[in-house]
Amino acid sequence: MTRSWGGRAAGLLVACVVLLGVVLLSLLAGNQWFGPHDVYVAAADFTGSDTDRVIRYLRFPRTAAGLLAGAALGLAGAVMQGITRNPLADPGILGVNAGAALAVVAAIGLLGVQSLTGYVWFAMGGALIATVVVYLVGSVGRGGATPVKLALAGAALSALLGSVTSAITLLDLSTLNEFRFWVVGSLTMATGGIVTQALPFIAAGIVLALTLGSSLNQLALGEDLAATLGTRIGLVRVLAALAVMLLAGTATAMAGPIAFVGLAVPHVARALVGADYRWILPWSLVLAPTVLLLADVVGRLVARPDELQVGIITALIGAPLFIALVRRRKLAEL
Amino acid sequence: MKALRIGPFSTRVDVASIVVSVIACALTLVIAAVSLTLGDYEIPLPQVLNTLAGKGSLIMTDVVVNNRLPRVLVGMGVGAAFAISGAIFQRLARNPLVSPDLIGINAGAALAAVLMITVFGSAVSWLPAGALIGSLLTATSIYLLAYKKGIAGYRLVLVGIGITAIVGSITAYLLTLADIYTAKTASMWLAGSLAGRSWPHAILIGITLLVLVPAAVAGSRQLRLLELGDDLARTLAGRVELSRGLLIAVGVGLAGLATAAAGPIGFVALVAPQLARRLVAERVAGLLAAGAIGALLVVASDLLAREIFAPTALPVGVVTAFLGAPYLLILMARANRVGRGG
Amino acid sequence: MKTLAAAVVVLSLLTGCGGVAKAGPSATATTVKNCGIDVTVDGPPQRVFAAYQPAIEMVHALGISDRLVGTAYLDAEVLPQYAAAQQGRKYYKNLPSREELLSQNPDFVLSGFNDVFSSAGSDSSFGSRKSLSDLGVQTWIFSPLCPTADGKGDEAIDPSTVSMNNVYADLRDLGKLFNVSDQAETVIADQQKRIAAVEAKVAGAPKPTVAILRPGLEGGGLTVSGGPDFGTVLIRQAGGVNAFADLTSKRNVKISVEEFIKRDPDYILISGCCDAGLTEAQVQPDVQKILANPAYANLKAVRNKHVVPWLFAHHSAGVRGANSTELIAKLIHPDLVK
Repeated sequence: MTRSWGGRAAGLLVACVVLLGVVLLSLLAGNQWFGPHDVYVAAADFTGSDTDRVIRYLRFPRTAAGLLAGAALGLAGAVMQGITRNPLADPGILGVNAGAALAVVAAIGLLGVQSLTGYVWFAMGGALIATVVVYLVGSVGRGGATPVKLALAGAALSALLGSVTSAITLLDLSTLNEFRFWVVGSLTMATGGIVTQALPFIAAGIVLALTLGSSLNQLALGEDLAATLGTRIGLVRVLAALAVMLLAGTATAMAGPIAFVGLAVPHVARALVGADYRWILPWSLVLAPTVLLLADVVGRLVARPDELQVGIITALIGAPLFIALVRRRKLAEL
Repeated sequence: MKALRIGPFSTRVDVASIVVSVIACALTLVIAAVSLTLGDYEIPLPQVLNTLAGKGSLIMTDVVVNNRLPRVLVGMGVGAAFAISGAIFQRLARNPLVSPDLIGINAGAALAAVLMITVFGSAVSWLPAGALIGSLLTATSIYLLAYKKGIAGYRLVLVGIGITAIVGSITAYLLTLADIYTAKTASMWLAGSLAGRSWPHAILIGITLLVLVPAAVAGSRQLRLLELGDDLARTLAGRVELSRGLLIAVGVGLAGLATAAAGPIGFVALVAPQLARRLVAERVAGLLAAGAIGALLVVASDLLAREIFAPTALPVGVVTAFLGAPYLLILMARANRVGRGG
Repeated sequence: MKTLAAAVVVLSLLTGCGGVAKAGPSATATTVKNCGIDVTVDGPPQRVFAAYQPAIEMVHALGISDRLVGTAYLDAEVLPQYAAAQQGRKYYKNLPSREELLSQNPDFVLSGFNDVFSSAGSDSSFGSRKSLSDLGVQTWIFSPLCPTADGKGDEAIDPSTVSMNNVYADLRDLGKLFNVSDQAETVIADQQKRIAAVEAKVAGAPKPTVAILRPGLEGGGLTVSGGPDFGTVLIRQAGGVNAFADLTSKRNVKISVEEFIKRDPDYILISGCCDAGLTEAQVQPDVQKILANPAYANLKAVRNKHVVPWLFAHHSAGVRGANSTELIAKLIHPDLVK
């Protein structure tokens, strides 16, 4: 489609505008529809009414969480797919989700932590540790952290951590009850405070990831060719892992493990702008929060008086979309 | 390997394999007997035997004959089924890491069953049919997605991991729909559990083994040929795709029905054939040896799962995953160091 | 009370000694229908297992505590008048497995909720009622929670059965089975008198809206008691209305936070649960969380400090009916009910 530099840049601008529109939609839509004036009042002229409070303390935080988590997951997914040359790569494969889940469950079940602000940091710590372990195990032996070894190490560690998580949740019904909703992923758990605390980590991750564009392009040519071109493969892998940890780990800590955003959005970006990671990364950065916020809005509208959690919508849309994409573009590079 | 001649028939017989099988079976029976006596209602062995002979009280008979006995039998059966299925896959793919639980077949069967429990509120007796359909659909999807002039290398594994992720998300969603008690039941089942197994399950897995194991054994000759590589196999054996397809069908059938009987018990399919191989010290151990070790693994794990946090019972899949995952990591590390990984 | 209990014990021993027939109903057999299933006993059951708080308290109320072989899963402290009877009883924090239940050799299992007999088939279910009666163990589910078929659970409750009348019917039927009909009538009369007194006092007064809220966010949503929950009945008797009575899909309904704010109930009861030693005081931190949350600051209940610690045990169908009705009435009509 858009293949020229100008075309891709213009397209990105359009995507940003669309994102802004979706952000506004996210503030307006929900159990009750508000108008732009209500948003202005809630932000600048707070009166303490129900409307003001709903917008300021419920809609603002969840929209911000959707922006940050979406950007983080989209970017992390693109980086993972680039670094592993596996179109099926998803931040979860590196063990992020399994580590966060176990940490959250341990916090709720064993340590009795009740509030989100409490277990958010457990989630992040768990994600970090799991990613590091997966990376180390995958690096053992010839070739370093090759795509396949990483995927297998991730699967094995996920199974191991998953079994411990299972054990804890099955031993205590109330833990199971909290966990089964957390594990689907939701934007409503993050308060304004959590979002503010998550911001620096995600910002750092975004900056780091965006610098990897050309290195990922070189890696896509194959490791031998990349080495000839002067890519420091080991360094790129470490930086990429760091970026994924920061981005996906924080996003998961904030909103639970949201599925498919990291998996599907980079493919959409690739379909729109081609295989150049210097464009795929920023496009994923913008497209993913658009998708996530839209999914969240849909979830608010279709199941009133309850809501469908955003992770459910992304799975329901993302799975068939992903399958369609995979079938159209033959699985290359495996 | 020794040659065995009985009258006009001769066949090759692997002595080490048979020895391993027999020992594994003996150990399995011992652990099974112990399992019959242990539980929340402790019944000493003589009384167990009495009850089996039909002379126990109504309650004791219910506990031993309707509850523990089928549980142990199902455990042995699914252990054997998973192990043989894993052995078939591993040898077909010439890769120790291609195992139905890693590549998502079990996950597909599990999704179907959870769908039936949470959405349709089905009775447990309908689960086998649904789980089997689920596993077949998943296997077909993986095959179709991964096929590119044949299935080579790690593509199958990677597609499988991807499909497992998809299936896992949908399953997690279904768990939020149900009330907490149904969710707990479904969660226990998802981890692979022998709780609440009754005679219909035992009969199901019994019939599965009766039908599919001879098929697998009959196909093992083809298996040996296929392991030589496609070109050589085509020269020696003729229709490679057909025999490979049939063997895959047997493998999927074993894994799918075992999952239907007891949920997706992880790592048995992966670990049992590998253990058998190490014990037999031959490059290729018999399918039956793998099956015997699989049975032993599951029965022993179930005993551990039931007793370790008594009175709370863990699902057997938690123990097999807890023991099996590190084993997988070691396997990977060893393969990588020797250079066969990548 | 004590002499009555002693007389009951003596009477039941006498009748118990009479019939030991194993097969076929004898002359002393009593049959009552519970949730569509016949419950037949040959003389009053002697070994009772009570699962869940309502069942445990009903056993104590009927005065047959000495026949308890086991109790399980209290949601809160038992009412003070039963504390002595509960002391020293075998107690399981979580539901025991079917095996553990059977190892106590019960002949009657009384359950306050229907999930123990659901066909879930995992360790947490006792198995279907039929599978237990085949072994000579009779079972009973509280009538306001009858599932439409054996082996089903909460999703199959018939909303028309949720009433105090069904609690009285259970008391009468159990009184018949256990041969403690006099005691049962005493309990029924007490409940009816107290509830009628409250209803009289609050008649004609405006009905405030009341929400029963479970603490904790499940994936960011809230869980409230819906129409089929027994709390609806109790609130109505106390002169109020359940703010979420129109949501009838389940007893506990999940809703979004925005929906809760939109409905703006006059009173919020935070329903704490699930420990034998739980008291309202321990639920206070959850109340604080609601009061401190800026999103809720404009709600009527928050502004008027009408957010109250409450117990799940209070709004379960059973012999707490009168007690809970009085508690709610004192809360929402403090001027009419002291």
